[in-house]
Amino acid sequence: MSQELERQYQSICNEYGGSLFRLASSYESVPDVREDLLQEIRLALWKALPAFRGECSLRTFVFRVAHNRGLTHVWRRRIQAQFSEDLPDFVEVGDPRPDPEASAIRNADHASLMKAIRRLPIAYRQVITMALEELPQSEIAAVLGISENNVAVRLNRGRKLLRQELGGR
Amino acid sequence: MNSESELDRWRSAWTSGARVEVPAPFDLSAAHRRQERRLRLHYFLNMVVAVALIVFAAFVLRGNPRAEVLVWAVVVWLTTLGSTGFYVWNWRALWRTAAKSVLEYADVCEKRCIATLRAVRFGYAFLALQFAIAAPWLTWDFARRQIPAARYVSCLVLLGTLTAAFIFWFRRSRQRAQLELTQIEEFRRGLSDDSENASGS
Repeated sequence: MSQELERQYQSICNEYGGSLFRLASSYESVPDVREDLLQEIRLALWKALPAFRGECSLRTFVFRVAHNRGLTHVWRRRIQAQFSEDLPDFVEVGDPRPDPEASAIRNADHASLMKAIRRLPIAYRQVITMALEELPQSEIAAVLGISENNVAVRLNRGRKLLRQELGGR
Repeated sequence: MNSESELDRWRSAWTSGARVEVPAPFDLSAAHRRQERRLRLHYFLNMVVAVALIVFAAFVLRGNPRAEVLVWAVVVWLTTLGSTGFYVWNWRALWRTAAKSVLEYADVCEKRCIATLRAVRFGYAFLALQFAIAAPWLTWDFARRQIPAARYVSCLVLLGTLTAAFIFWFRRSRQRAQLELTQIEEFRRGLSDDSENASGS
């Protein structure tokens, strides 16, 4: 059982490792805190995996767990910000470490897109990030627990907002 | 610009920063065990304290079977059973939530916040009750010269300090729960705005 669990977990990490990292990045920009969030997501997946009975696809399951952790993280950070003067607004906290590959055009594109995505309201951010991960609308609806119609509307609005955040590019 | 090509361009930028990393499952398994142990220990300690209080009151009553001590023991039993029962009832089935949809998860988070607020209200009432019983009781004992002045004052100081500490903790818990509730409502409002548009379209 334990070996089966480890095998399943390993295959999730292999298949969705990149998606999970990008998803955590959309919720948190500070590298150390992002690492903590990623660790929390991994732990939540490890804990939830034994209860996974295939009621939804594995990808839906992984994205549900990850977004739920992300939401909790955002809420907690906002509460911390209210209690701590050192953290005026978590959304605006930038990466304090220099990015060694910042000169590369692709990374610059990635960084500015990520920054713009982080500025979106959570409801739009979640839909946009899942669309960028190529999840179909039906699956985004299953992850969020809303209708496909609603996903379509949020996707449209989210794209418009993202375009504005990117300076109309 | 064509919307599909725009999305494709974003997708390409989005995936260019990917970093795939596979952590060892063993570490997670150990972290999971630690977390479960901590939760069980917390629950277990609550129960141990409750049982210890009940046994302690019975023990004191057995050694000193006076009407006054019996009243005290009954108060201890009732408040202990009441608070333990409330603790178990208030937090029932609000933990296994990870794989729910985001909307269902927000519902559970809201229920947890409401449970916290309920616990704080119960805590305030419980604290007021304890204070209302303990302070006059001590004063009555002091007036009858059952306890010396130094002990009376130190007991009142201890009671006051504990009450102040609990009030501080309750206030903080309530503020946190209220802040989280506000965020959950804000998140939900974002969804319902779109739902209205979606149903209207």
